[in-house]
Amino acid sequence: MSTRSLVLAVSSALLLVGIGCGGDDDPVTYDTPIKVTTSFSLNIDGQGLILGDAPNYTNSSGTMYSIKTLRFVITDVVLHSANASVKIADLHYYNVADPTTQSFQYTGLPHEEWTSVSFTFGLDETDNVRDKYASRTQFQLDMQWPENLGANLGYHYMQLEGNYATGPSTTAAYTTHMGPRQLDGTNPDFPGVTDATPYHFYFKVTLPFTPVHIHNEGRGELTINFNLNDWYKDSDPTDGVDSEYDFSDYPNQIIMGNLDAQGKLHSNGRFCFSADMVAIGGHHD
Amino acid sequence: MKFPAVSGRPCRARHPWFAALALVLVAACSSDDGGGPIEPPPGPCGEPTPLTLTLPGYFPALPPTPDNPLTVEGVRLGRFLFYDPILSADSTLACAGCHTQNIAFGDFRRFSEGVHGDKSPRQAPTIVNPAWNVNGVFWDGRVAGLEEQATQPVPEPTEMSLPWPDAVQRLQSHPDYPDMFCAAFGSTEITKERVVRAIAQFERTFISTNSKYDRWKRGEIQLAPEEMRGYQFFMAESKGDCFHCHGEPLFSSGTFHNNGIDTTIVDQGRGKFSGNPADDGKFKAPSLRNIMESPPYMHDGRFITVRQVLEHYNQTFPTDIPNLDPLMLKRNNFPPMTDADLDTLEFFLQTLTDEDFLFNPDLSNPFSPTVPLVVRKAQKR
Repeated sequence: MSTRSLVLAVSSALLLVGIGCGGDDDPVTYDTPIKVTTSFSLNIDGQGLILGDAPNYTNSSGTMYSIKTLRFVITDVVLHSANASVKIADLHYYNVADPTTQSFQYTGLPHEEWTSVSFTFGLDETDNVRDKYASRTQFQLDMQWPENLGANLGYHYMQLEGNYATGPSTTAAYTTHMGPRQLDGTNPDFPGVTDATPYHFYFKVTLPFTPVHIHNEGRGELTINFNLNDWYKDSDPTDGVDSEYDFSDYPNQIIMGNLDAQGKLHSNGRFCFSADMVAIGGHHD
Repeated sequence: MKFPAVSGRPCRARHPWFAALALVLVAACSSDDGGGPIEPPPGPCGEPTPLTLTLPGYFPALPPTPDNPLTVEGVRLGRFLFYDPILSADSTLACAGCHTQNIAFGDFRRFSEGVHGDKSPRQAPTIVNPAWNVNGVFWDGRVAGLEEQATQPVPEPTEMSLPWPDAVQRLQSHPDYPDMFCAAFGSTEITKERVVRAIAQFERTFISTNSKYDRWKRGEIQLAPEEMRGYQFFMAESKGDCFHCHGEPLFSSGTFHNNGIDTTIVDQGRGKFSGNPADDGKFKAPSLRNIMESPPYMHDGRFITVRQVLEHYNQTFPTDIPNLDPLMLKRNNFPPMTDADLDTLEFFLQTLTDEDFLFNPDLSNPFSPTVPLVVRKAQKR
C-alpha cells in the first residue's frame, strides 16, 4: 500500500468513526415525517368479497348468503410499540360502496418498532352520543341510530346486509346492524320495554403483527384483515356459551335492540380481525 | 310549465338601484384616508360580504365549500340567475321553470320540458337542504356538487339548450350582470365557473328548518298523538323502517338504493354512471322534507300521491329483483301495515312541511313583485 493510499484509508476510517460516535449521543433527526397508510382487506374465510344478490358464501351454520352492503366504524385507532402509542385515527368510517373511505393516512409516526394496532369496533359510551360527529357528514347521515332505540345514543357500529338462502331457490334479506340500545317503552318493535341504562355492544381489539421498523424516508402500510364470516361463528366453542349466529335465528331480522343478537355479535366480532404491517422504502442513515 | 315570461334583460328596468349601489361601492372603494391600512385596499368592486347561515343545533355541520364561500352578493347574484330565463336558448326557461319554490323546488309534472319541447327522462328532483348533498347530485349522483350540477342544464339540448359561450356572452353584454359579478367575485369578468358558483351559492341557502317537526325537535311544541305515533312507525323496523334511508334531520342519507319499483332494470340509474352492475336500478333517496307538497314521486314521477308510495313499500317484494335493497326485501318478513298504520305514517310526514321554506321571500323570484300563492294541498287530509 502506498503512503498516499494509507493516508486515505486512515482518514476514511477516522471519518467513519467520527460520524458513528457523534450519532450515538445526538437526537436522531429525520428528513420527512413517517407516514402510515391503513387499509382494510375484506374476506369471507379467505374468499374475496364480491357484492351480489345470489348467496355465494357459507356461514358456520351452513347457510349460504350474499353481501350487498357493508358499512362500519372504528374509533380510537392506536399503533403501539414498546415505548410509544400513537393514535392514528379518532374515527374511521368505512363504506364498501365508497372507495374514498377504504383507507386512511396518518403522518408523523416517531421512529419506533411497531408491534400492534388496537381500536374500538363501533363507539364507546363517550363517543356514541347523538350528533357528536355531526361534522362527519356522510357518516352522520349513513350511520345515525334511531331515537327510539336511545334518545341520546348516536350511531350504528355496522350495517352488513345481503340475502340468505331459505331454500334451494328461495332467499330472504338479512340486515346485520350493530349498535347500542335504550328503550323507553314507546318503540313499536319492543312495546312496553324500558331500560334503566343503555346497553353497549362495542368491543376493543388489539391486533399484534410481526414487528416492523420504518426507517427514515420510509412509510408504513398497515392492513386490517376483516373476515366477515366470523361474525356468525361461535367465537369460543369451549366456553359453554353458544354464540353461533344464523340468519334464521332472527327470522324477522329485527336485531337492532335485540339483546341476544347483539350479544352474539359482540362476542364473535373481536375474532373477525387480524393485522399486518410492512415498511416500504427507507434507509438507516 | 314555463316560467312567467320575463325580459331577457330585466335587471336594468326593474333594478335601477343596482347601478346606484355599484356607484356607491366604487366611491367607497376609491376613498383613501391615508390612515396606513394594514390590508391592501380592496379592488374596484369591493369585497363581497361573507354570509353565515344559522342552523338548528341538531343539524349536521354544513360541509365546507372553501372554493366557493357564501357571500351576500354571490347569493343575490345566484338568485337572479336561477330565476332568469336568459340562460335558455329562447329566453323562456329559467332554472326555476323546473324547480318551483312552493313545491320544494320540484316540478309538478312527471317529466320536465325543455325549450324545444323535449321531455326529460326523469322527474326533476326537489331541492331541499342541498348544501348537505355530499354524495353526488342528480338521482344517480353522477356529479360531485352543486357547482358541477349547474353546468349541465344550460347547454343540454333537451333542457335549456344554450351553449355556455353564448350564455356567458349574453350575461357579459347585459347592462346589470357585469356589475353584479363584480360585487360577487371581484371583477366584471363573467365565466361559466362564476355563473355556476353563484347559482350554487343561492341553492345552498335553500334551507328548510322550520317545519312542525323542527319546532317539536326544538321543544317549542308537542306533536299530536297520531303524529308522534307516526314518528315511532317511521323509526320502527317492523313498521315503516323509513329512517335507514331518510334519517333525521335531513330526512335523506343521500345514499343510493334499488327500492324495487321495477322488477327488471328499466333505468340503470347509478349503474350507468358508476359502471358497476351492482348499482343498476339504484337512485338517490331524496329528502322527505316537504314531501306532502312535492308530488309526483320517485325518479320517474310514477306515483301521484304519498299514499301510493307508502303502498309500494308496504308490498311483498319479489325476491328476484336485481340489486333489490335488503331493506326492501326485509319488508317481506312482516305482515303488511294496515290502512290505519299508513294513515299514521302520513300524519307524521305532514309534520315535515315547512311553509316558511316554501314561501321564504328570500328564495322567491326576484323579478316578481309577489310570491305565487298557490300551494298544492291536494294531498292534505
